[in-house]
Amino acid sequence: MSRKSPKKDSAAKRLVGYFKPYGKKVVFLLICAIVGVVFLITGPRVLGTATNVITMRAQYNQTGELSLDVNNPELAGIEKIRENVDAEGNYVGPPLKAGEMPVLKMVLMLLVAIYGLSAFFTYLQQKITAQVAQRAMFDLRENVDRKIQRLPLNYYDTHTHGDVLSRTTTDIETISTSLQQIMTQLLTAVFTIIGIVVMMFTLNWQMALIALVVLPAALFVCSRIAKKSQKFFQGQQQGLGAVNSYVEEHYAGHDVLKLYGAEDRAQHEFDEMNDTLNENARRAQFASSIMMPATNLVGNLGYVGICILGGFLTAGGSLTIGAIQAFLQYMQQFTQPIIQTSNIVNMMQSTLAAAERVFEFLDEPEIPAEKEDAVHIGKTEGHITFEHVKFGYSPDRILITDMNAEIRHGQKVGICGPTGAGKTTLINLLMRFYDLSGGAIKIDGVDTTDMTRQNVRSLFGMVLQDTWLYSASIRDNIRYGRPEATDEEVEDACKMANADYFIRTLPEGYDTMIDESAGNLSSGQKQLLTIARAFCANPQILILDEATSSVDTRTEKLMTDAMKKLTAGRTNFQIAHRLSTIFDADLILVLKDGDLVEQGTHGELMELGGVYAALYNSQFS
Amino acid sequence: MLKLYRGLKPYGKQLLLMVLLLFVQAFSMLMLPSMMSLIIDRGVVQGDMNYIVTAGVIMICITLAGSASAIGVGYFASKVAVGFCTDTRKKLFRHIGRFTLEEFDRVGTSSLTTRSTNDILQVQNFTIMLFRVIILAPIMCIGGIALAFQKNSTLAMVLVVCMPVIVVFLVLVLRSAFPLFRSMQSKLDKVNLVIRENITGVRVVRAFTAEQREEKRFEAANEDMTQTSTKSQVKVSTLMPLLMLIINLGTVAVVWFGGQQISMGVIQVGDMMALIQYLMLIMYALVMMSLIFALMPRASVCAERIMEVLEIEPVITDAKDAKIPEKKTGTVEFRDVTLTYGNSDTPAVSGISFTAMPGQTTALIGATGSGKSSVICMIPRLRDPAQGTVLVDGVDVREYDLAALRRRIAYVPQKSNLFAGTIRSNIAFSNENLSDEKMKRAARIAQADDFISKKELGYDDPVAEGGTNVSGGQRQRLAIARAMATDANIFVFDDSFSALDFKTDAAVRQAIRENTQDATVIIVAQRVGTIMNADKILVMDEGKIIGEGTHEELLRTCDIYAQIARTQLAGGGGEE
Repeated sequence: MSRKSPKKDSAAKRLVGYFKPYGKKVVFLLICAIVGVVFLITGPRVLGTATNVITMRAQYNQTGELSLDVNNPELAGIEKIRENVDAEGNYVGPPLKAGEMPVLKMVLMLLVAIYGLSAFFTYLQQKITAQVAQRAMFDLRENVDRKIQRLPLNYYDTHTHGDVLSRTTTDIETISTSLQQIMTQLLTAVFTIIGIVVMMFTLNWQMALIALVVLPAALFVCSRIAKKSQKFFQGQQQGLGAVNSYVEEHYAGHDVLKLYGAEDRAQHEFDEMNDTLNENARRAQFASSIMMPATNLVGNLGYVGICILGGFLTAGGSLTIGAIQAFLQYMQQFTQPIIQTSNIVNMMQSTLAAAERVFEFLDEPEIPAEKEDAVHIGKTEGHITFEHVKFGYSPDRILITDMNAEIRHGQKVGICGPTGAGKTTLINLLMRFYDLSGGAIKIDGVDTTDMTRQNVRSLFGMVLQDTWLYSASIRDNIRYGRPEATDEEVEDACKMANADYFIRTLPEGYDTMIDESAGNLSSGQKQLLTIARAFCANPQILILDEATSSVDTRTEKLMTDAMKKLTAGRTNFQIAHRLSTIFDADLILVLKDGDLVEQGTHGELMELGGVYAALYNSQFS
Repeated sequence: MLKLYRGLKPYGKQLLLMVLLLFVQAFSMLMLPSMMSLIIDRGVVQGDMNYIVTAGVIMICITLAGSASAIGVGYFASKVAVGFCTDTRKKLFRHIGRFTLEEFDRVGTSSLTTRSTNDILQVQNFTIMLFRVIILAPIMCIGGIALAFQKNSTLAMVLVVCMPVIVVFLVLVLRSAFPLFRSMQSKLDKVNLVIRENITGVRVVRAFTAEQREEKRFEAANEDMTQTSTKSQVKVSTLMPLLMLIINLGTVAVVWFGGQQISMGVIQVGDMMALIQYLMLIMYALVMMSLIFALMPRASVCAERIMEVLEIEPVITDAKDAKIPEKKTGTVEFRDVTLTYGNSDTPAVSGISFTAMPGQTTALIGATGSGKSSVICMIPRLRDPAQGTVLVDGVDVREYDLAALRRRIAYVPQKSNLFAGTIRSNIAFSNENLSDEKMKRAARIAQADDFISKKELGYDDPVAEGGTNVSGGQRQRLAIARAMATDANIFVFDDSFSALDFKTDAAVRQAIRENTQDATVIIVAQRVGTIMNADKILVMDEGKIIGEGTHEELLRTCDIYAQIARTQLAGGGGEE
């Protein structure tokens, strides 16, 4: 079904497109991220300077001399230091008492400012990311919902609800949960890694080389393990799926298991599956648990390397202790972003897969546009003609070849045929859920394709077996077809539909909320509500699907009575499963294998002795 | 949660080993900074190159030991947590296997499924985190502080002050974010609900031209969710920056006080550097521990739900001295039986007395909800009566060995559940070693051999989970064949012909009668046509038998029966 448009951008590119409307904010958050990281990375370096200051101070205590590198960029900004230090960096201020450390104080104050700013910008970045990501997801969801309304019905008839639902809910959720994480973590992680490498090289290139060995090694180890564990996780997922469906099936059929003495066998089978799952899950969990220690190992080896090399260099006088300390802190800050990056790369794969499925949904062809000069019918006589109607769900399989029929105002039309004969097809055509392949259906002489679909549908009322109600109060459900209906009109409709009585027995009457799948109502009650809904909409033409299965005899009586009232004086189509409901129809349309094969009154059709007569005889002999 | 964790007992030794390894892991993580400080103070400051090398080698050993023990922890954590959950799943499946209708009604089939699968998975994931990360945190904290005190008590105080600040802060942020998370979840559910409604109700929405209104309804739900979600995310985004700030300020404090201590010659530079790193390690451990707040609530709810099921004792169990009576005639007798569901005040059926004789067909008819199924489900003890007795072959069913009782009865439930496998495995459900001949005979009786032979692989054609790849009518016929393949001499059909067309219905019934000459046949039906030829018809209404007799007798004596017959058998020209 899904035709790929010739020029389709990659899912990643399209996903990024959702951030375009927030371009300014995105730029701002990028700046914040960079600034935040720059401050964060400057921290250890300045801290190193502080350590150096302390070491020198310790020397001063011994020798009475204190020399500072005024060209050190971390100190450059502090004017007070310059006042007390000469061009060679020797301390020239008043002699210091023990415990008095003006330089350290200044450096540390600088540090507090750096850390404060870093925290502030990181917070800003994360906050803006949250806002932007949520907004982008809002837009994506809106697009998806709008798409739901614009897809032709054919799409829903050829795709399972499960498939559509997983694209519109699960996949979107996957995207939205991971997107924000990707945005916040990936940016900072990458910036941090780059920043740390730069910092290290400016401090000391030999030691930075250690880091450069460690970095790719850690990345490599991480991604290898991640890949491996992902494979095991798939195994766990499969094992889970197997156990899940086994459990579901066997709980649903638990009585059969007992009645046929198959419990022991089932337990045995379950144990086997459970053991397989155990094996897979254990492997998956173990593989993923190695990730941290393995990365840590690489990181720690780097740490040790720095301690040793740093020790030599410092002892040789080409490095300060503060620099070692800064290096050590950088090494510690390294592992976190590396693990994050490799996690995110994994996450991105599943996110992009989900995004692809969502975009595929958004790319489905939509309903053809309405005619611009559409005719509008406000009131109709209910005079409907089928003229040489030709139709098939796909062009190469025409079902209805040449259907002609005329239905006059107020007539009752019965539609019957064996299961799968295509009774709902006729409804699809009448309501313009599908467009014809040829011929025309006219209402009061106007071709329905010359009207807007909404106009056509507003003329019809529908009571189907599938009693769809939505999560709102009973009152709102009843006025679904006519939102402006007053409370009295709603109640009148319910009285006509014989639903008023049971609604009033509910604890909250008309304000009772309908649960998901309306579990608080019986199926008979739901059907009464759909009849009331049709009453309230007050349509001029009716389509009724006889819905009597799983309804007790009393409710059935109420329903037939209500249906009778509803159809009085209105042109109506009735789909019949039991022929007794349409004996008295003015016209009976008999369908078989998708096509109209016979039409006429009960008497005429019996005389004909064809499909209808055979159907009749099978039910009543 | 704790109750469920009692199941960890068999893993005691492995757990102990794991905790030991955790200690080694924590110890090695803390030792690295200590060694580093020695390198600085002894090696660098005193220019002792040999010491640097020796200490370096020791550090590498420590690192290796630490990593090895961390991997060991991972190994035992996965093994124990996954194994424990496998045990629980097994226990649960076994336990639920003993449940009958009563218990399934109470908890609900789909809920039981979730509890056996997803809930256990939640517990598993939490348990692994608990073992690997959460237990480590307190060890790290205590160890880190102990080492810090060993170095210098003034500086250690900085750590002691920092820790509660971090904890308080974590708790504060997470506490205020959690309600938001929860409300976000329910709002997300609402968004998904609207989407689901729009998809499942697409015909109705369009029929009522409500597309725009639905779009608005969705937009409102979407906006609501987006706002709450943004709010909660913004709240969470304060977490990391502020935590970092606290740690960094702590570091500044360590350096300030450390500087003074060094300048006074109390400690050395390396000591101060080690302390800075302890602080970092402790902080990471605490942040990881905060996971407990994120995972625990959900996991403990899941654990409670699992425990709840494990604590339900099934009502129907084997009698203590269960009997297997020798007599096997097939008589089924109800003596003044009353059945009550759960805690309901009004009985579902009451005062039921009748006898179904071998060689005869006994039928129950009545509107939905009149109690037909409730009556027959007491025969194989899917439920037990509140009062009165049900006797099979003259013996109270409660005295039977359950399996023996059920072997005497072939019962076809209303819902014809099939199981993944083949057509063969489904028909030969009660006896895996059923002969081909018997299997084919059963299929013929059920009028199923026709469509089976048309399948590509015949009897070996696969049946999908729950039998979704066969049509309703075929499913029902396979369920009948499954019953006919048993050695039972009591056959009970609970509305088992409803999906068959009139012709097949009649053919199946005739074949059953012909092939079960001496057996007792009990049929529940809604269609008069299905049962009008029965030897005895019981008419049920509102949980009571209100008429008994043959079709002809009942037409005369029972108003309700006559009324049902009239509507269903209405000849030409009749209405409704």
